[in-house]
Amino acid sequence: MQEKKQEKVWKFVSADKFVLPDKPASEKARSLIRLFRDRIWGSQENEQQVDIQAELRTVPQKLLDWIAPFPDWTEPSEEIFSITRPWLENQDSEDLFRVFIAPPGGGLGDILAVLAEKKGWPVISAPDYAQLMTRDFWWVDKIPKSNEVPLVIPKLENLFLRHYNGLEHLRILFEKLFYSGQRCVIGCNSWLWKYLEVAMNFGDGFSEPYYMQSFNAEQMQQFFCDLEAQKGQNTTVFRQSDNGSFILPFDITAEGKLDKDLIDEYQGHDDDFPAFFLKKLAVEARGIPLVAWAIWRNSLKLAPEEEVADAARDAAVADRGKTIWVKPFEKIVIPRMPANSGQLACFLLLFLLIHDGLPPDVIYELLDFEKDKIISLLHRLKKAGIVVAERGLWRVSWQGYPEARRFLAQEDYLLDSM
Amino acid sequence: MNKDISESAELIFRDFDKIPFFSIALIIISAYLLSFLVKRLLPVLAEVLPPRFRYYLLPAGPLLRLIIILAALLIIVPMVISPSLQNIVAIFGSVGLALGFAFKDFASSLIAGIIAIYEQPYRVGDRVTIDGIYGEVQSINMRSLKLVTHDDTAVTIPHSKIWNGNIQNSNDGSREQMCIADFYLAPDHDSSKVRSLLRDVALASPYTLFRRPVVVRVSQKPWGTHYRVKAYPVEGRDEFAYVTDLTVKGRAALQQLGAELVSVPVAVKE
Repeated sequence: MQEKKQEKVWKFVSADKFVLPDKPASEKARSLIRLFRDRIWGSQENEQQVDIQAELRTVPQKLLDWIAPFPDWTEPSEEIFSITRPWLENQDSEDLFRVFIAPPGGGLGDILAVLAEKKGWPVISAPDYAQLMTRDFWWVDKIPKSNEVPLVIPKLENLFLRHYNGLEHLRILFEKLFYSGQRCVIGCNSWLWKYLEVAMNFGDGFSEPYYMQSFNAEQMQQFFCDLEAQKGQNTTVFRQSDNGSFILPFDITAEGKLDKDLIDEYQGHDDDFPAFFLKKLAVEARGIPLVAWAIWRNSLKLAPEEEVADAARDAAVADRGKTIWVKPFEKIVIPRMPANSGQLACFLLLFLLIHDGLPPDVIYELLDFEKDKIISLLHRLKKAGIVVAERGLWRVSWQGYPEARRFLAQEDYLLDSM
Repeated sequence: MNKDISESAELIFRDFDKIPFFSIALIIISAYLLSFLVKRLLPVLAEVLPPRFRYYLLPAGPLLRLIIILAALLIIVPMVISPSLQNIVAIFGSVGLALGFAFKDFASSLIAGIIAIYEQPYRVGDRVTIDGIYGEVQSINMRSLKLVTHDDTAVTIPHSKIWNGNIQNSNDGSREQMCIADFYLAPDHDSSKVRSLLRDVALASPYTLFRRPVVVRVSQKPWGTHYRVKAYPVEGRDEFAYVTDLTVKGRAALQQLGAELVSVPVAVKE
């Protein structure tokens, strides 16, 4: 078998090296046409809402979790450790902070939590939201002292509120960290970092942050192959439901587990990978792992098989592993903003993105709009798949993130730099 | 004498049976429809397109409609009169004279409207003060403009106001608009803390535009310390909502800080 050089999937780079996945020219034209159509005639909101809700209900959660498991964060946490190691070993370094930035859906908070747990680094725990709205700063004095190892803030957004008192909490925290000479590894979402840069000139006091590099199609393919590897021997074969083509290269995901004849038959098709599906997925998801993962889960046809083309079904007869049909990319229902969403939707999405989720009471307090309007908007956006309510927090759904970002860009609101 | 007049009229106008009434009616209807479409579609288009286009699209409406009317006139006039210089001067002279006497104010407003389209002392979307009335220019018609004040009252003002009145334009065609929120405090307070807090009130507001600075100015008045928070909203037309947001949150923040807000005592008549 031909030896393949695997590209490193997880990378953290400086701002000038950050790139988004290449967008095909046809895709650019299509998105412009769609933008104009939606603006003039409104989006096809109702149809899509029904589709999203109905499809997700039909899939048993356990089955879905087995077929497309949640990523394991060991590899990216090791990548962050390898970046921080020279800095940690250099005791003379005056840089107190290493800042890592990722967009929502980058999994950065989880990655840093895994790193802190593995290395035994103390984590700064977040005060509750009510405290961040007061001028009571005592929690800052409770920060653990750690001279040997760095402190970790997995999600800076948990220590901040865009509230007139919330900004002061962050200032006092960093003032304390600066004066104590305490080293700290900080994870921050790209929206909050942008806000801190423009509103509080935050970037000036820090050395250059590391941005989570977006996945291109090759890295996206490797990411999904790694998810397959998490399953051990019980591999799955992913085929596109209209033509039966493979989505993932089976010589990586299914080596030794599929019929040798089948693998031999496809040896000459190396040029087909990464599959067109993954190229489009990388672009739509802006190369963000959990955004791609959420769209991927939505693309799997687990319940009805009637839409699978006959030719595709014939090709799959030889599959030894379980065949999972994947919709052609154009058939995947991607959440779209409801028509006439208005200014409140901009405010709401921006606040949810900056904080990576907020409880409803805090949303009412921060936005200071009529509660009824906010509740109604939240439910409209939830129905459209743009936001989700999870563990008492409303946040922008991973699947809805690209659309939420597009919407804020169209309305000329503050955008992150990723 | 009557014969002379009827002969001159015959010289100016084409023969009755040679005037293409059907074509003229068609041109008038087309011009009316086009003008109507421009009037209706541009605001819709300005709403659906990204906000930055609003300030280019809306002011183009009156100009486009004027061009449509002039083009229709230029096509129709030669169809009705014999197109010689003498005839055209005679026709426009007579019309001008009639307008001057019978519709002096109307004509003044019409001409001011044309000047206004050219000079642009106000455009659709601008926030202006005319005759002490402040509001957003919602539409510009041939004779008048329509303002909408912050309490949602529509005010129609003839263009002729530009001849002898002042027009204050707050944003002059740009999307940005500086807003000011005022606070008056009793002297016993920590000024630097108050300044920092009021700045944070603006930075935390969802309306704030970060391309422009947030500034807090302080001055001492006989009745207290005057703080002025100067900042810009993302959308200039949110001016009143933005100042309300700054005022409500600023007052709450100051009260939490323990700063005492002051007001002028009410005079009680015995």
